[in-house]
Amino acid sequence: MYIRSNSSSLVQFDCWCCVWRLLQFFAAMADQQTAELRNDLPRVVDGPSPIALFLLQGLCGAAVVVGMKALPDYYGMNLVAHPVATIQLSLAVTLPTVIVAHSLMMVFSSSPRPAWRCIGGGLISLPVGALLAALLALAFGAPASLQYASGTFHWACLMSVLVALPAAIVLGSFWPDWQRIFAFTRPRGGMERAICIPAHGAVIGAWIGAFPMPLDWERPWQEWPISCTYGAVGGYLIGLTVSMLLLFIHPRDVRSKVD
Amino acid sequence: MGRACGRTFALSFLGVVLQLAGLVLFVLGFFPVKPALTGSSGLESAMPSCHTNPHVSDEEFSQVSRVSYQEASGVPRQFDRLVIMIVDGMPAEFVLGRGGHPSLPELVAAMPFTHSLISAGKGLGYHAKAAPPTVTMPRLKAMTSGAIAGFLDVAFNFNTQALLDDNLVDQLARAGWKMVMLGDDTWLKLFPDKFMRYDGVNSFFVKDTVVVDHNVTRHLNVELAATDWDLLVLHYLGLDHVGHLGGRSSSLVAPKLKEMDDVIRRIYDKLIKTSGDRRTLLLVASDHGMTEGGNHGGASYQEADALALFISESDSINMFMDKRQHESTLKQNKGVATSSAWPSFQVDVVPTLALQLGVPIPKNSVGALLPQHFSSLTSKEQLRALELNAWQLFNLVHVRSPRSQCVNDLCSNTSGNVDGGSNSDFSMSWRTEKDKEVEVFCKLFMQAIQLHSSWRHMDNDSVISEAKGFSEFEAARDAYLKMLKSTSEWLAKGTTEKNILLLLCGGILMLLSPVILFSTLLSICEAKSERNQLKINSPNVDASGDFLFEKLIVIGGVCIHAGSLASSSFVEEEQYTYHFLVSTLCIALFRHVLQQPFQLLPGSSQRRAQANDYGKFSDSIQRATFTKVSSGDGDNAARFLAVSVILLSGRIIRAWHRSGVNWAHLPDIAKWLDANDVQISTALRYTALLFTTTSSCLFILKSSRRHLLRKLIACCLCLSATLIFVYVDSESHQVPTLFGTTSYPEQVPTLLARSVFLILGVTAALAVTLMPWIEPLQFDEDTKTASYPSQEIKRMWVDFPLETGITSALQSTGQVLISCWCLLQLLLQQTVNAGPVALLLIQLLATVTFFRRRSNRYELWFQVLALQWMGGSGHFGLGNSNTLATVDVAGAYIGLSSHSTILSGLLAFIITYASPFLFLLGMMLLQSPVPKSIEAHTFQGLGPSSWLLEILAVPCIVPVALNGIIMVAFTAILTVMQDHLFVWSVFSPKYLYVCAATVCTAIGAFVYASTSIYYNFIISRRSHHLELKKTKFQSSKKTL
Repeated sequence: MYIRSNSSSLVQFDCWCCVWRLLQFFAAMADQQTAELRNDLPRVVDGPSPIALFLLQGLCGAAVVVGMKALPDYYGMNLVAHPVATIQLSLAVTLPTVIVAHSLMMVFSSSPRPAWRCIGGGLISLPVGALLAALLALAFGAPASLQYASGTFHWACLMSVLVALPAAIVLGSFWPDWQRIFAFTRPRGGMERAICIPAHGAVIGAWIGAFPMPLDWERPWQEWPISCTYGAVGGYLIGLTVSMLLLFIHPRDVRSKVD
Repeated sequence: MGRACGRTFALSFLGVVLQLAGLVLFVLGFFPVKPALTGSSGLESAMPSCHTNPHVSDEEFSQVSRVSYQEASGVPRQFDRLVIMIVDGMPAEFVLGRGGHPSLPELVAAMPFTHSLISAGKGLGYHAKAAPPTVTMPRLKAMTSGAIAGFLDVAFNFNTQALLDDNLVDQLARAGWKMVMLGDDTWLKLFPDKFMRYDGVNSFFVKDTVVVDHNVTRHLNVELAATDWDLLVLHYLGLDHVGHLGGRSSSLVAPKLKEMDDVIRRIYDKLIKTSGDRRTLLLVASDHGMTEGGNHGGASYQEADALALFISESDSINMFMDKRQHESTLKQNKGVATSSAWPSFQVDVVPTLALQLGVPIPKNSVGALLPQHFSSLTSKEQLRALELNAWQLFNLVHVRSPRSQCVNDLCSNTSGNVDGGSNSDFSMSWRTEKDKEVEVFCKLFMQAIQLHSSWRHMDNDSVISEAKGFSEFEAARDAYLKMLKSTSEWLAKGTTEKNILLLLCGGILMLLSPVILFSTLLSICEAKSERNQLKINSPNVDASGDFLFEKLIVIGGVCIHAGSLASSSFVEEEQYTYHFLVSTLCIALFRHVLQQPFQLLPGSSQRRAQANDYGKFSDSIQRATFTKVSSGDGDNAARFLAVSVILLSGRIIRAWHRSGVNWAHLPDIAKWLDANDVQISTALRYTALLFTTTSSCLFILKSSRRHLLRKLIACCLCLSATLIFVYVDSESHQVPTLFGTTSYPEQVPTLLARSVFLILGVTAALAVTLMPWIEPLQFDEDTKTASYPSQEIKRMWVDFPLETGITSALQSTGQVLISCWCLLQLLLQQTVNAGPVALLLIQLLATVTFFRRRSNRYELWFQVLALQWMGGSGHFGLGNSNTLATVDVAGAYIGLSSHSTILSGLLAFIITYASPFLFLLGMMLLQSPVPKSIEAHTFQGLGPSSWLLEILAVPCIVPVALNGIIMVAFTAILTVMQDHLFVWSVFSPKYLYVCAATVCTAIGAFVYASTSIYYNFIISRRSHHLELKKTKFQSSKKTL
């Protein structure tokens, strides 16, 4: 009896903790617990205004939708039938949009960075991120045969554009910031949230996208990069939506910085 | 402490026992042994009646039995001699084509004579659908007894001996037939001392495709000339071996078919064409088909597509397909015959043969006769044959559902004179689906009986016109056939009543077990966390200690895994799930590594200083992480490397065998090795052997004190490795052997294998018993373990002498045990599997290295769970799958000179569960993170017990609990899915694997528990003695 009651309370506590942490995870990354830490930050992050962020994210989302759906439709293609070509099209739209939008944001921010550094950082991060993504995909079981190499390469580039590129433009090469956002998932300020949440969304989406692949439905979209691409794009869009909503639902830490 | 320990022990023991008990109950309830009729059919089966009580009828009829069965049955025998020619593993598609299309031209060209027979109407071929498991022994049983065994019968009787059920061979023997058998010795095991002459060949040497068949054919001249036999069985294994080697498209297939065709031609020319007074029937059949890759065992169309081809002199073009139609089909297919359109099952051969040969149909046969073969008989005889078969099946229905009203009515109203009067009972409302089905058969049967009797009256009258009589006859025949088909299919499907009570009890017991185990686990963790919370009043957030991400992955992963088993394709392809989970876990570990300050380069203190600058936040994280231990250079790099090694080796292991069903035919490393020269894989095996031995010896001798025992153990391991080396050489049949050009005597491999078993067993036993005695109990100043600063270790020894002693003794023993296990696997596994075994060892060592690093903060339960998942992932990497076909039966005979079901079963178990058990043993190498408050607890005298309890109990409880979750989930799924299409082919085999995994986990937990309790006992006694000695020494010093 003694064990049971105690354990159940512990379970409840645990569950509650999980839920609470999840809420923190998605909603208020910089809240109560880290508030005291943030108060004596040596470097106050001055984020851009919520409206600018909203426009930025809206632009990125629109670019992804156009590149993934509208443009291929226009050319009479779709992801299932022509995976590589579709991803190429989408890259052609998304890559410049993401680079230009984020660079503009950084160039005109309160602590400006030169444009060449933004663009250069972005362009360097693209192959590095793609390489990492491809290696991870292979580790997770993506087919290693040459037949799928093109698909893997394009999927990895897309992941790199969605995940690594914005971070490289905004964060530069400062490792602790990368660590804080990608290893600890603790973004500070609206700008970092705008990078962090969609990036995590894309990764989790791609992860979930791999689930239906072993099913024996024999549908063409179960082929290797297709379902994961769907998942990544879907996760990215959901992440964008969440972070855009948070701009208005939970703008407190942005305001506090303005104060 | 004692109480807590005792309670934990009792509860976890209870959990394991409940799990096993629940499993046994559920299995007994879910897989009931099919109710079968005992005894064998005799004269009484010629009487149309229910005779489910054999005792009465036996006596009754033995008194009457002066008349022969044939006279009683009224069906004359059509043949005096029978030749059964089994071509093992031949898909009917090879001969008859598929779906009305003829087979490939090169296969047709390979069997010209057979095709000429079929198109001339001398032969009639069927796609005789075989029931799973499509393995030779159960298929032969089905082809002779006509019964389809229950699932468990098949699973447990993989290599049972004599067939005890009523069967065709026994019936023929009773009728005085003399028999000769040439070919697969399975026949000799099934029917010992039934054959007057035999030459059995063994199916072990799969690589031999020529000699096996030559050994059969060489007797043909003598046997075909001899006249003293009535039944000749030829069982050719060559085609099956060809399939196993190269698949369906192997270049050896066509020559093999040509060889078979020649045999058929010889038999036909010698016996059938020129037989004279003895009418001979040749049945060319296969026991099962093969997949594209040449494997079999499952239920796919390709595997189940067996052949049954009846060849005789009499024209078998029948009433259903008149001659003109036959010729038109022939023309359509350019002269190449396709199968008879009649849908048939493998078991249908049994009643057909029995009635053609004039013996009673075996009692438990579920087959329906093939009517084409009786068309030469008179109408009366045809109907009589159908009636006999119908009554025989009806008796089986009666046994399956003894409570059915209609069946009982028919039975009580015996001897066939049922008239329309009994129709009044039909208005009853039927309770279950099954009863309804039985009612349908019952009605069909009554209808048939009525039509039959009305036809009989008409026939007696002989006034009615021929045409009317014929239409009446056709109506009766069709009614019988309809009844036979549907009843036979229903009986073969085997829907038997499940014992709900047993199912319920088993389910509840199973469900209780994880609950108990988890409550125990939680109480242990709680004790530990209480201790931590009480003793450390640290206000800072333990940023790296909450492991939210990892908890999510673990809970989510277990849920996903358990849930995925509800889908048949995820059961078939479980290896993907496991690999995905392990990879995800590795990502969590990566993330954890990245959370540490970035120091891939040792000694980059400058960077660290910079890192310290950037923010209080990270600084606080850093402080929290390294409150007690200062960051060690290179620690992170080592952990990073370890995770990379885990991921990489896991990926290679996955690519080694493309396990599963749907993509099993795609290329993988094992297939590549098989296709290449055997020397590459042998070289790989030697390398794996060398690596395993070297790494084991290094680890065992690494300890600071090279005690004699350690040296002895290392020597034993080296010795057994050498023996395995010689064994591999002697097995590979290379002519210049490593030790000269002469080949080895025949006994050498067996002897070598046995001595390896002995040496490894003795080594393991020595290590387990003696290791705690030689383990140092104090901190040794000249410790050489580089990764631990001696200060740290010294403090651990001072503060926790007992725990540290037990942990290090367990680690030493664990190292020895996993070395022994790996060497054993290198002996037993197939040559291609040597690579994965070594990779699994690498993966295990990398994981342990990761978790043993000083900065590790992962709780023990997490470590154990990670190992458990890796074990599951490696299970499939060794080529296992969730179908029974992948069990390595050949390996189960290594070191055995005679057949022993128990020993070979044990060996098969060891081979199959190599990976899970390796990782269960690997849990001894783990190390729980040191409690953070070393000073605090020693002062209060509270702490060590719960830490010790954790070390002792968690590695036993977590695997059993995790296994319990999967088991409960899959049990629930199986219960829900019991009417699913794949329940027998996918879910039930998986359930057997779940059962075996439960046993494996229970054994692993038992080994760990008994070892750790024994060590606890020994080491606490030793340290107690040491204390006493110390105090004595001190007191004597004082007095001095």
